[in-house]
Amino acid sequence: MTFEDEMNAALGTFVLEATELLSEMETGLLALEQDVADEESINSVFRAAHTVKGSAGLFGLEHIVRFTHVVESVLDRLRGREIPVSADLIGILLPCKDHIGILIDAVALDPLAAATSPMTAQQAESGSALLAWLEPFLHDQPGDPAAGDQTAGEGPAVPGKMHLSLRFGAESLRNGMDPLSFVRYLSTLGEVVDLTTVADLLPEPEQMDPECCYLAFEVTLSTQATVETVEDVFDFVREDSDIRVLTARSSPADYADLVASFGPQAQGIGEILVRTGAISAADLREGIRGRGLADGQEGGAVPIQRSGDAAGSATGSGLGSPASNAPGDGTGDGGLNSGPEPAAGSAGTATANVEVAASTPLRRAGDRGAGEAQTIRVDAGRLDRLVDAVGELVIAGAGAGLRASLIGDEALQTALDEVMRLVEEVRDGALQLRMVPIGTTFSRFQRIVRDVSAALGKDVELIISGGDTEVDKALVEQISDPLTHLVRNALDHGIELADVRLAAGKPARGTLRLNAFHDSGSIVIEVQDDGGGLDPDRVLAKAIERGLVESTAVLSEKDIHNLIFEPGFSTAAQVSDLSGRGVGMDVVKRNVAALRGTIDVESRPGKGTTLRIRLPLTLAIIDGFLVGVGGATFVIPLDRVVECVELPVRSQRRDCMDLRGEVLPFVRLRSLFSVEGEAQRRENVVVVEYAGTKTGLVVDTLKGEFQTVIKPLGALFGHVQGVGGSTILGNGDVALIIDVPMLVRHVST
Amino acid sequence: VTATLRSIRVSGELTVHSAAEHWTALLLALGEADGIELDLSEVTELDTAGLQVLLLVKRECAQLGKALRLIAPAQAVLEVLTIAHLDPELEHIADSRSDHLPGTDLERGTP
Repeated sequence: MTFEDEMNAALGTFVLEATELLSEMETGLLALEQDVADEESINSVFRAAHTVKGSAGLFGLEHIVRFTHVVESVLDRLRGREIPVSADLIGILLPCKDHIGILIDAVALDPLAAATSPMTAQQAESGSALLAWLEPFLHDQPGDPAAGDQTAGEGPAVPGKMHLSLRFGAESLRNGMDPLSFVRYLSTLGEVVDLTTVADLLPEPEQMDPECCYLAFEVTLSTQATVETVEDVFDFVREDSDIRVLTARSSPADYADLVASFGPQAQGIGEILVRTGAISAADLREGIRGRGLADGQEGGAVPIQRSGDAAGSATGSGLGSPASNAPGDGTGDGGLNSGPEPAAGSAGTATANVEVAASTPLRRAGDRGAGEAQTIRVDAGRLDRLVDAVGELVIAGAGAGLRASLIGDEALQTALDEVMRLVEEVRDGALQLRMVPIGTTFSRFQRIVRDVSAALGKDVELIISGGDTEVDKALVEQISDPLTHLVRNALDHGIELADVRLAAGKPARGTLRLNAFHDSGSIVIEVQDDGGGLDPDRVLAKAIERGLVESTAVLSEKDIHNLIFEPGFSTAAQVSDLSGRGVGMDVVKRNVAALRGTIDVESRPGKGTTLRIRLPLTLAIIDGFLVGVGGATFVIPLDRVVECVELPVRSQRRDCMDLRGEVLPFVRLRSLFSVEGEAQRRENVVVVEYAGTKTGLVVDTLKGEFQTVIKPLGALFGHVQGVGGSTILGNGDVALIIDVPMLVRHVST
Repeated sequence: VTATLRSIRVSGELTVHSAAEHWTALLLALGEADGIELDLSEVTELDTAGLQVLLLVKRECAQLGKALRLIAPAQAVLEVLTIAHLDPELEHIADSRSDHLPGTDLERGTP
């Protein structure tokens, strides 16, 4: 892999992560809109913006850094309670988040252009417009009560000057982290007033490993950012590095700790601290003395004592220390011409790092890191290939099983059974890998509901339940568009305006529910509103007007409701006349059907409407039930099969039978699919159920369960009804897979 | 004994990808010559790994009493030196606000 390839791969990861972070940010902002005191959301929004900025900085995407920096500053003030959460602010931050998303998408599309001409004129323009909006939130407004509180209260005061001690892990360079780029980045947070490159930890030449990081940096930063913001810069390297951020409010003991952690180089560090004014020589000495006593380490205290003296004289602070200890030619030399034991020094520091890591408050990142390691990103294509291969394995296994049963070797049969059991496990595991909670798709609707209802002047609350219901990733992606359609429709045509609602005795605030659950091998997704519901008379009138039904037709209420899914039922121009819905419902229905799913509607006038989408859990493999009709074999999805009974003799000439007192309508597969040959004397009925309706399928023979890999039918057979696909049997024959929902509907109409 | 001065030109990037190579060459030169003239005019990129190689060469020269001259550092080098608050002789600059980067006047005498 060339360097460019690696960069591109890394950039791809950045884009993915940034997109996720932005959606986290959006979720947080929307949550804040509901509950302005939600600390957790403020923090998560801030973290998201901050991390996006940091990663963008690593890739040199200056335009994103610049914009996000302003957003982050505002969020930082929000977090510090310097400005209150307000609807205005969130109304600005949301489009800002969108803008960052647009910039990132542009980078994803053309990484090279990002370097030369990062933004189109339009993007630059909308960016500056947003920044202008943000401007007022960057500064205290006169009479802003929050700002007043800030200066008076205990709150997280804005530290002016910080001392940063940065010792990067030895492996940083090899891991692609260049400490200099972090230092470079610090200047975006404030002014780097002073910086000392500490080279004392460089080993003897013969022990030098040029790919190992030895340099440390002592930085004095003058910034308006909080300590946490500064610490967060080092999120990526914190685990292996010793990063300390000290302020004027840090105790002398912390400084003493820092100095001591440098071991033999302690003196030099002490000098730097005092010279840059991070701490006074007296305080430092005090801290060191306290530390020495506490640890009871005479050895630790002695060199450090000297350091205080040396520093005192170097800065001429007149502490009365002997000047002879100080390096003659000023401040920096101590850093470079240092003593004869640098190798030992680096070893000493390494141990110091270990113990310090345990005592610093910067372990958060490590904890977070552990959490992240629990998930890995996998290329969806690879997963598909795995599922494909497992599918083939299932077919091959079934073939071997058939042969073995012909041979009748019992030991072979047992061994194969075990293999098949494992294959099933692998299959389930592989399919499980593709399962994702639908909640991520649902939460995107928070924003849609917010924006659409605001545009319509309605007040609507979105309630999400069943978000942890898992469904195949491919399905999630493909269902998102139809769902969006349904949600928009519900907002536009379902939920009424506030005054209409109040007049109808309903709360002014409308409710939209998104719900998901598993139901016998399907996932059911419901979009439910508490709006006006469908008006059957108007729907019927419209359908007659459009020529969809005869004016004399007598339809049940359910049939009338289903008319909204008919192509040509409604066009955009007429929609607003209708108290129900209608825009492109036929398109929604077609999309859902393409996923082997169904959609139905349930509506009560004045109470609201529920649209229910029912989808198979996965698209790839099903457990099938094999049946024979004449010479042909069919597969019925096993999760649809309720039971199998023999066809009663007296029902042979009819189209329905008596199933324990229930009337069971049935279809003869032989006649439905025009299979040649006479019906056998004894026929069987496979009872299938779909959406609460039972139907019988009359077949010749029952052949048992069979794991079926669904192979789609070619376009040539696209119009064939009642067949959902095909599969290859172990003996090489092709079997058609029965589309139960289609058949059930065929029977019930 | 006549003092020998070895001229070395570093071209391309002086980063973690090439630091080992350059370090070996410099270490070798350091053993053979009385001083090194390091031409940095063709350095395209410098990172921490490169910087610490330069610093270590400087320290060695100082300890062994040999001469080190850095010649015409390229823009990439100057930029890093500015960030690291080092002057073109790799000495610490105390105050960031004093902009005393003396351009290409880089000669450093033998200690």
